[in-house]
Amino acid sequence: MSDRDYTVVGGSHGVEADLEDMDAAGGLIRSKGWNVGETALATHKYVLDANLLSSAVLAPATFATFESGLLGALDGPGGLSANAVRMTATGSFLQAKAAALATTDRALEYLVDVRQHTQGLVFGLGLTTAPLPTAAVTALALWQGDFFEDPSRWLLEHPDVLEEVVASTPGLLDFFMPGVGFPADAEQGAALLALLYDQDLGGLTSEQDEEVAPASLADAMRKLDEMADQPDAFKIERVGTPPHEVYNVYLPGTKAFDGPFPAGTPGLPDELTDSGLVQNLGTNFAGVAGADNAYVEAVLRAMREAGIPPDAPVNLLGHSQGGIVAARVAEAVSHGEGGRSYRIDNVVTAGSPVDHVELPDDVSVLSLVNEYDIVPRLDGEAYGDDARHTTIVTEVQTGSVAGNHSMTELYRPMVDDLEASDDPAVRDALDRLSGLHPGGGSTAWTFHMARG
Amino acid sequence: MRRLLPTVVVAVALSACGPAASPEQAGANQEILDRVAEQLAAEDGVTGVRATYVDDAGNEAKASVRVDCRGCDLPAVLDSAVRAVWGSEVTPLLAISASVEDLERAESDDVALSVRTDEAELTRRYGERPVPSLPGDD
Repeated sequence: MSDRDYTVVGGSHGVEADLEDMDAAGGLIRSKGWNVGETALATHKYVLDANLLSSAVLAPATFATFESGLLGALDGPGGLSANAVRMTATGSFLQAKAAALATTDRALEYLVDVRQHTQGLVFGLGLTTAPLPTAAVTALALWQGDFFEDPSRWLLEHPDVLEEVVASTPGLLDFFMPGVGFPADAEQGAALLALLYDQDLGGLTSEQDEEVAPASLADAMRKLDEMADQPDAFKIERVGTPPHEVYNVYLPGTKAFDGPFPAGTPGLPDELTDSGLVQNLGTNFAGVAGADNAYVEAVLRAMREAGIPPDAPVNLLGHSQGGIVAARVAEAVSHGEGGRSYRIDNVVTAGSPVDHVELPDDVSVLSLVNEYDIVPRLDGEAYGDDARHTTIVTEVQTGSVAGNHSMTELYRPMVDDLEASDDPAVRDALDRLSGLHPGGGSTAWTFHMARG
Repeated sequence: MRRLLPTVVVAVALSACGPAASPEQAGANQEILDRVAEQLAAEDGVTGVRATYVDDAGNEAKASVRVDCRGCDLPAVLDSAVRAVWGSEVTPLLAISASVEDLERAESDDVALSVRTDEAELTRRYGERPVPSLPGDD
């Protein structure tokens, strides 16, 4: 284990999991309280049992002793009935407390959103009513933060400020364009931008190889990293032996940050023209939007071609754009898209903005995040505390945007460290993934995507 | 609450993550790595080598070497792969990924290195590079 620090958000040790445990414990106590109450009620019939009453004439003293003892055990201060009431009340209180805490948690999240929105509104108001003082105060704050010495370096070191600015911008827009209404959120905005790009899948070819199956999560992340060696390629690997085989899908990230315009358009720089790749910026927009795109379509088609049985566990692993695609594939499968049903067990993402993607409850998600990596922050969402979504956060500043986001330089060493960790929250998150790395041999299909 | 602007910021911020090498440099680096692959292919038990220079939006100046073998000495082959890349004239070079898979024994070994953070250790183990890892470095 290196000297890196890790923070674990959500998962089996998260707040939501604790509240779920509290609710479940409350429910159990309440239910047992009812059982005790029912037993007490049923036992009351012996107080008036006909045989017992008829024997009272023969032994009145014994009868009286028995009756008072039974009534005391049933209805006395420490009797069954009183305990039933106490247990039911305690269980109900625990459940109500869990619900109240969950509501408070959601309210606090909402308050953060409101604060950020208001911050944007106030800044807009300041720019309109007192532009010079507002600009001066902003410049002073930036100057005090050494922004002007090296702006790009400053942004690299303060991704939290970038996130805050991004989160406040809708408020600013609302001030200048009140009630604009659309696009109202990241998904709608991304959907508009995705429309500019070609989203069609042309061809999908594959080759089959025999490989060594991963024997650890680090091995699996290495396979994911190696998929990035070639453009527009991803891999499906069958590990384990039938009928207990497991399928791992390795989805690498963006290969080109390109523009939507046709290559060779006169007067346009190369950066604004279409790279012709599937793993491009247009797929990022479509992925964030949840819109149809060639990458998700190719993965669903490849899963059919690989013959993944409906009951075989499938693990989707993705870096950056690949993580978004992994989440979207899991979402598509849960909606019955893709022509077949699959059992998606796990989604593992490294440096991907996936907190805004709603995944079904039976899918466990592990997100690896570097606090200085700007990519996972750019959905504008805080790391969610969800019992089924564990986010493990590290803080490593390599000095470059690409380095802070790199599989080879950052996320693979991070997984090496995590596998050596004895932190119970980390161990729980990693133990859920043990099925994806049984070791031994494997069969792998590398798929190559092409535009139409 | 979901937000519009992040999507635009993604485009702007990430467009800074371009390749570190020019297309000519990338081509020359691939030729060097092809020779590294030939050199590694001659080692005992090695059945296949893929050496790739990757320099794109998601991978900055990375040399990736994947070796397949049967009954080979995994740590020794892995060490040879890293040594060969480190001793080559590939530049810029910011990351090295090397792996060896032995299909016969169903075992593998790998290493992921950042030149930015591991340069001192790499230099200690394999000596000075023949060229700077980044243009402009001494």
